[in-house]
Amino acid sequence: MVEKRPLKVGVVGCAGRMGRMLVAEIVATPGLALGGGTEIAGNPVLGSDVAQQAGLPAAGLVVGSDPRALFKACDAVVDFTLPAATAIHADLAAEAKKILIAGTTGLTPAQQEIVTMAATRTAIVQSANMSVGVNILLGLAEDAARRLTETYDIEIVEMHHRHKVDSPSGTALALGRAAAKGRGVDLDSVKKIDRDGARRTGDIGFAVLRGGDVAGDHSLIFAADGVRFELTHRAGSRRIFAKGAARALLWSRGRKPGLYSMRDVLGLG
Amino acid sequence: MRIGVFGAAGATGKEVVRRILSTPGLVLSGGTGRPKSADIGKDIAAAAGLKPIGLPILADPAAVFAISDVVIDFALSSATIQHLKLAAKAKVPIVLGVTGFKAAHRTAIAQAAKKTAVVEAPNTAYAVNLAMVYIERVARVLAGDFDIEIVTVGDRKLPFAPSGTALQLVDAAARGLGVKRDNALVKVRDGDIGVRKPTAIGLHNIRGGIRPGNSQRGIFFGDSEVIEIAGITSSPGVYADGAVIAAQWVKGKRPGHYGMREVFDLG
Ligand SMILES: NC(=O)c1ccc[n+]([C@@H]2O[C@H](COP(=O)([O-])OP(=O)(O)OC[C@H]3O[C@@H](n4cnc5c(N)ncnc54)[C@H](OP(=O)(O)O)[C@@H]3O)[C@@H](O)[C@H]2O)c1
Repeated sequence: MVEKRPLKVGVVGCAGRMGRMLVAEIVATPGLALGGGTEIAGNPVLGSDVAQQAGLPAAGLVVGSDPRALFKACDAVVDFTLPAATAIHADLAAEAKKILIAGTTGLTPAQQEIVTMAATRTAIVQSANMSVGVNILLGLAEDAARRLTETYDIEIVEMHHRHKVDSPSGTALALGRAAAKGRGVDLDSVKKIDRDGARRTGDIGFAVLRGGDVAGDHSLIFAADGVRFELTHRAGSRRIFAKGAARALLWSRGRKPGLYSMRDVLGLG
Repeated sequence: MRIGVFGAAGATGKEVVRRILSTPGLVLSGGTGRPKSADIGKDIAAAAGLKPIGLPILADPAAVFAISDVVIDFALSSATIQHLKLAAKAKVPIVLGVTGFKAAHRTAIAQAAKKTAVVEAPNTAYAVNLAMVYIERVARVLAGDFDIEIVTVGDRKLPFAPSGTALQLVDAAARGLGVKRDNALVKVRDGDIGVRKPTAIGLHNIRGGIRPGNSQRGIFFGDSEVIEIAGITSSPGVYADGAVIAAQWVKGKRPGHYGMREVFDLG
């Protein structure tokens, strides 16, 4: 068998918390090679070694500030930055016909439109949560909600660290949406996040726990008389997003232009 | 449709009796108990806590086959081989809810399945069968990246381990990983066990309490994340529901060896 040359991957925003994790994951993943990294002009890390600033042995690659040059030098680019930057990167990916893995959340409709358009010219994998486990759970949640009849009540329990400001978590809401979709209902009409009394038939209830440094636990519970069905995910660290991005990178190699999700990457249909 | 119940005075059998009597279109044809036990001759509905219906619990399974379209068996495994022989002779489909099978039972099932439809259903709860299907699916997607362990919790009175259900969960994981059960199953870890093999499937059989809620759980341990899929049952009525669905499904089926996955159309 002829060994394929590893996929050369650049990281935009390589000095951020996710950026450094992505650099480390790319270096550690067989089949992937680090191709460079960028930061915005003025960042003190500019000019230092991309791998070294991520706590690894030097790779001989200097942190630059020109994403266009990064796209040119690489086969693929990973982007966990900010919505405005991601829209620009999507255009650059389309122009250079390079793969883009986009994990940035909170894009405006206009920014999303730019990403969607860019995906007609190159392969883009976009997901608000790149974790393999969470995406598996989301896929199963919808299927289970479709199969388990209305005799099952649906509830979601999540726990995160004491510093988390939003509640319920985005992932808990995504689980709720997946379950509501399986049931053929709109989450907003059945969502119950502040229960203070009896359960209403058909509700999808959320229990939110906060404490310690929990990275993120989620359970989706289907409960009927004498029986329960539970799907649970526990995250140990943000590393799972970097792991998922690495999986998406390996999968995206040689793909036709298109906007793909982690569900496509995992073959969950 | 006439349904007979073996082990009609047992914990699960009684629930099956109640389900049949409360489901329109189903007729309770008869039932058996352990020969020579005090249950023989008792009214089958009264034994299940309902108004008597004038149908005594019998000691002779052949007599029940003679008047049934399908039989549900929740007696004990010591009687299963005889039941299978009689099912084959009477050409009446049988739903085996009873568990604890050994090699001789396997042979008897294969033999009987040539003459009549046999549903082997060590766990008739929909939620548990759904868990098995998901465990297989996730194992296929995550093969190599995540370690799979199966954890089951059962009543202190369950006299053997692993349970049929636990082995079904292991088999589901093994199919997903593309390995054989015998090469993958790890039942004991004690001493210098070495590094865990990626294709290992660990099995843990927790026993305790009375009706603690039986849980069947597949756990996938990845790098910095864990996925759990669990079916939890806390009342025998849930098993009875599934067994009655299996009985309705198997009526008129060709001879063969079937499972709850086919009954529930879980793909
Ligand atoms: N498939 C499932 O989902 C599922 C669910 C629950 C249980 N199970 C299995 O079903 C079986 C029964 O469980 P259980 O909890 O209901 O136990 P149980 O309460 O002990 O019921 C068994 C009943 O069968 C009777 N019996 C014994 N030998 C018999 C014979 N030769 N002919 C007819 N009846 C006989 C017993 O009588 P005596 O008490 O007088 O011996 C008892 O009444 C076990 O194998 C269990 O593992 C399967």
